[in-house]
Amino acid sequence: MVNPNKNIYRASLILSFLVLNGGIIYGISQLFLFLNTGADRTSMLHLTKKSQQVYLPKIVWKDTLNPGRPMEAQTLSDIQQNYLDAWYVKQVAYKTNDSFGINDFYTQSARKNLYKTIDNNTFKKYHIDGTTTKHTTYLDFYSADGQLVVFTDKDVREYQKIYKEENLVFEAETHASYKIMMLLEDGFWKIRHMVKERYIPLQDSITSNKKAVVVDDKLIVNGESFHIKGINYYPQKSPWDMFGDHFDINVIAKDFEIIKNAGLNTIRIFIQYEDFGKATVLHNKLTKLKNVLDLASQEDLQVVVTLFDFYGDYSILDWTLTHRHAEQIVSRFKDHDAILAWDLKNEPNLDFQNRGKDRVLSWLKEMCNQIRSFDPNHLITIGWSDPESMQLLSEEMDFLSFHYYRSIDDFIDVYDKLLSNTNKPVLLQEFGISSNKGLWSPFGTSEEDQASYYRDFQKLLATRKLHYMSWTLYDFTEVPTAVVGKLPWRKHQQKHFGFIDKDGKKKKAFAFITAK
Amino acid sequence: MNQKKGILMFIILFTLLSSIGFSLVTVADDDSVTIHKFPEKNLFIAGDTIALNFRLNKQVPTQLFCHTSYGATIVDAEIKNEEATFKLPEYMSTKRGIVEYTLIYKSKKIYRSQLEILANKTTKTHMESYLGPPSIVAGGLDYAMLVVVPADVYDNPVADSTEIFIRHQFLDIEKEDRYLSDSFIGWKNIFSYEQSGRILVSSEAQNTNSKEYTIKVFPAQAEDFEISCHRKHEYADGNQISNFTTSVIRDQFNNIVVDGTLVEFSITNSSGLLLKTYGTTINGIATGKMLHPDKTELWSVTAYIIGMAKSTTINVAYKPVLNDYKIVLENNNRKIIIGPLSSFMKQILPDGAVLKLKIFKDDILLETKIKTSSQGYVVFSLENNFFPNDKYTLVIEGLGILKEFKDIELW
Repeated sequence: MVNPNKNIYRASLILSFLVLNGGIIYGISQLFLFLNTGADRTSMLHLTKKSQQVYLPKIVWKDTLNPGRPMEAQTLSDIQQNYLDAWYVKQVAYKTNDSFGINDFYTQSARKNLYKTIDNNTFKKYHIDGTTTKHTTYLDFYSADGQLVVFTDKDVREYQKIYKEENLVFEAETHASYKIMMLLEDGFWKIRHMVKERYIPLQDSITSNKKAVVVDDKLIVNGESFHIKGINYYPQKSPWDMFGDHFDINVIAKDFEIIKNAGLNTIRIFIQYEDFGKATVLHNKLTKLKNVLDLASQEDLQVVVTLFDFYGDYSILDWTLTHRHAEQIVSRFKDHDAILAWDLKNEPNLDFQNRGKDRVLSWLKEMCNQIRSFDPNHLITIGWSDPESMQLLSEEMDFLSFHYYRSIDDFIDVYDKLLSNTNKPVLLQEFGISSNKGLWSPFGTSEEDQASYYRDFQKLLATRKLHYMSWTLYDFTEVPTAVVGKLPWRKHQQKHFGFIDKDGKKKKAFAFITAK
Repeated sequence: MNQKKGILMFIILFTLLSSIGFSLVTVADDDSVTIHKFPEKNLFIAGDTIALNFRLNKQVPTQLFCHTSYGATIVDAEIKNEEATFKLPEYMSTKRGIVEYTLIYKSKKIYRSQLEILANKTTKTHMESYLGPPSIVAGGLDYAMLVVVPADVYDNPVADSTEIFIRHQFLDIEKEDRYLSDSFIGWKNIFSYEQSGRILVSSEAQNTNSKEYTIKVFPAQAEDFEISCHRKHEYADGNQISNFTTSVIRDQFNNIVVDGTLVEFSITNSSGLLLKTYGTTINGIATGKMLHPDKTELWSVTAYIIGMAKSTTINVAYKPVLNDYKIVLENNNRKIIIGPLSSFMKQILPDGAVLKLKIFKDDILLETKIKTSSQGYVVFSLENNFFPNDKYTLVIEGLGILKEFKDIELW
């Protein structure tokens, strides 16, 4: 008989042998891996380096003439990329108080300065959430061997929020000028010296063509007083996806005719942030948008374009990406005569709870500045989801917009109260009621109720000469989950806000789409 | 009595308050916190202790937000004699540039200003030099650029218009140029001279001298040159080696081209075939080697430094080593003995001469046999198994001689 202890010894001996060998083999393979990484040609030449766009402040080279060597376009683009990368890793390092990435974009002597700042801020429990939104660079010197460059960034717009632990200590906007020396090391342009210099504001002038202006509480479009009688528009087949695969310009043309014939003069359309390509706006989407705007122009309809639909990050390091998104759309259409206004974001106040009110408001404020710098011709507003939020950022807006889905009986009181706080034009940007009586809501409103709601509302609007846009032209058959969530009765409600039902028949409310 | 005291107190308080009111310097925008005294000095030298003093109308906790060249931070106050003192951390007070500071109270700005820190001139200067490219070409068109970045002991680049001297030496030339720094740097393009060699470069700023740097000046492009042929004899023995040698190759400024310059010797033979051999220069001379041909030849030789220069063309003739050889057929004509092969002095031809035997049957080539000579003879055997008894035509080629045996009977 074999002693069971003996078997245990054997088993553990064999097992430990296997584990030991496994460990040795693993160790050797790790050593091999370590010795092999970084030495292959692709990584030495940075060929495999995947560049992802994470930081895109506006940067303009005003002048590349220099006494050293003529600047090549390729080198300039490398320098620009690495310079912005240097800013990016600095922002991330100061946000997390971790020096990751600094080695790649600061030389050995320069990075010490960043480490000291990080050490100090870590010790004192500060961290800084920041970004730059603009750089205006002038080349001073580029050496003959192409290894050294000195330039001046005369207008760095920096936005920073300083936190002690999690509490906001200070919010700073800085305009600064820096002189920078960069060296080409290991294939990267790295910052060697950085000296903040006296800031002298640059002359930057943009002139408006006065296509749309606000005088006191009046909207003036093309020189004439303009009263918005509008509707929020999605094609019947592609709600919340107007520029997607189902895009059909003929369908939109017919709809615009219906809208025009109904006596309306304005539509509101939506541009989804991701759908349009985020920081790199897709060419075909812009073409589709252009077709829609051209069509609106033919039908003599004004358009309120709502940007950043379904966007919800707002983080400071994401700012510049959204700025580039806006720039590509807004500057492309800055002279388009169909556009009345840019609506920065639909109902951003709904994100206050999840994202923080401060964060959302500072994003909106900066976005407003950005869009003004791209387009001086059209107006700017924000489509707040409730009347109370309308006062937010009202200084920055050209006219104020709010949405109203509450009881019609309270409307005049609410509105008069709002009006007493502002002297800017006010737009009721969304209102309406769903004719959703049916299986999902047996006590809902019927089509008759909807009609009488609009009839009454039009009377109220007439008494205050209020700019309005109703929600919406069509009943929809599909509503994306992102809009109202998954609950079937909520989806059902959202499907029946239209003046025209899903079969194309005008509902009773259509008679009151505008005041007769 | 009490009433009197009250009135007195009131008057005192009123006077005090109004005196404060009149001494206001800056009117701030938050909670009526006002600044009575703010820092006046706004110019510092790197390394100075920088302490900013503020006196407010009341003792409230304030902080200072500082934004500098490399980053930002918040500095907390030390309160002393009712004054709030903010001492900038050393890593900030040692770096050149503008420091923007904002006095904050309850997260709001109450005062904003800036100060400037200049590079420290009194400390030791560090010279950082960048010289490139490290080698250039003689002739005065090519140049290397020296960029000097002097910095103080805190690694701050020196102020603009700091004097920088750049010196260089070449052969018996020694020059010094004076520059004023601009955008952190002083720089000079150092052009080559007509001679090749080394240019030594150094620089000086604020009494600190740099290391010595070297620019290598290579000779310019080679000019056309001549070649000659050296050989042990003029016979085409397929055994000796002919050397082709260039003249000393120089550039237009008479500099000998750099050692290792590749020269290609291109040989065209009598039948128009191209042979190539290569040599690299030492002291301007390159040698290419080529085995003698094994039959009479006329070689036409030109050398090239590709893309730059070429040589004169020379013709080299080779005489045949023999005019004829004997062929004996033995063993039912199946053993073909060629030889003796004798050279120009009737000596036995060194081993290795190539001979070919071609076997035809009815004008169809059956086989080509190739053999090299040994001890002056070449022997071919035609085996019964491969060549059955019949009539064949045998052709023997080699050393420029061709012999044909028609319809030889093998049995």
